[in-house]
Amino acid sequence: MDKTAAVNQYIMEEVQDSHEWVLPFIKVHLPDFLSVHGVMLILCASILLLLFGVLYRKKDVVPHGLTNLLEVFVLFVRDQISIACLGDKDGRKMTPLFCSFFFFILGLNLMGLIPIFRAATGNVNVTAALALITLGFMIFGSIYKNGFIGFVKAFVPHGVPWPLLFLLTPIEFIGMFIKAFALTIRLFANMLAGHIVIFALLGLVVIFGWAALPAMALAMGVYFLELFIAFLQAYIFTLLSAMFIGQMVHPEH
Amino acid sequence: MQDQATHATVEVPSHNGEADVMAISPMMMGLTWVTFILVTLILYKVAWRPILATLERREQTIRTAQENAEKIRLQLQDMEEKRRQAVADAEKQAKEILAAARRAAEEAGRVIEEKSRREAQILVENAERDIGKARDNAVAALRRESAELSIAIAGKLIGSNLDDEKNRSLVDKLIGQL
Repeated sequence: MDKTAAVNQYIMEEVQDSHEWVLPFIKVHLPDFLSVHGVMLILCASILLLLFGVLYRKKDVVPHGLTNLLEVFVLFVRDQISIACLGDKDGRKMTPLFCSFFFFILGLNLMGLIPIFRAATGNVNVTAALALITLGFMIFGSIYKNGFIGFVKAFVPHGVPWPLLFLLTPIEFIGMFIKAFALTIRLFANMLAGHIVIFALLGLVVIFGWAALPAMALAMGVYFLELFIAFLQAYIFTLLSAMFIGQMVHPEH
Repeated sequence: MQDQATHATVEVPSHNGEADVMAISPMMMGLTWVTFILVTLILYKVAWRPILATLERREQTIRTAQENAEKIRLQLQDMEEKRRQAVADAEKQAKEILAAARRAAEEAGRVIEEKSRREAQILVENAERDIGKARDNAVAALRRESAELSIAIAGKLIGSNLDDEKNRSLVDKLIGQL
């Protein structure tokens, strides 16, 4: 029982935000304004700046190596997400935002899979902040593009008998917030759950000893699944953000 | 055991349950916004804009190159078509020249043949005429000879000198009746 409690506590410590960063052999105590997840955000931002600001060779006409790899993702975000959801003109204009979304979330997800780091996307505040940015673009992008009347019209569905509008318009309006909320929970829950599963499987070894050794293989399998999910969730968050913004900016589609 | 667990939770009071996973922290949200917006702005300047510009430039280059290649391909096709046409024309002309030459040669041969045939015919006709004339002469000479011989024989037989003119016409009549 005490082992189970210890494992439970360890898992919770691992997936929750705290002001103690546990590294091999040392514990780093962080100041009040900065938690471990905050450090992860700053680290991820620095890695992105290093990757795209320094290592990415933008002048290359024919890309090689790392540039080639990153370019595949940039092109994917531009063509399959941004332009696909917002049309050619707005899509090209909005690509930088979605590239930032994609690489920022992907970086945080992947960092969560490295043992000394934590998954900041498993923190609901981080995903909520990101989803609120999407919500902001949904609201202000629509007002900027279509005016306030156009923004309100986006909540009025076409081709519906008018008495139903009294019911549907509020639902559509609430739906906008629900979409952002769903974005928050989807990313947060996926990352959190994945990490809990891995830790729980490893915890079985602590609790049951050698008998639970096969759980290691299972944990390994889940780890690779998480690797895939890191990309998948970054893609889904970006795609859905683009779709939601697109729906608000071009309500006729 | 229970003590230990409680002790552990007391030690880390903020890490004791699911509620904490959902805890709202304005600090964390603020930090996320600051980090994300800063990263987006900086990367927009140093990365996204130049990267996207390079991509578009490259796409433009490739599109232009493709169009040029297509144009060159069409030109080549056109030239190939013209070349083939020229060769075909030359062949046709050569054939016509050959045919004309053959016709001329045949005509010339025919004329020569015709001419030689006519000359041969003339030769044959001349020869026939000469032969006819010689035969007539021979027949006339023979007739005269035979008349004279007949008169001489008859004169000798009857012993009298007959009037030459009268006898000869008589003998001619006789011979004519032979």
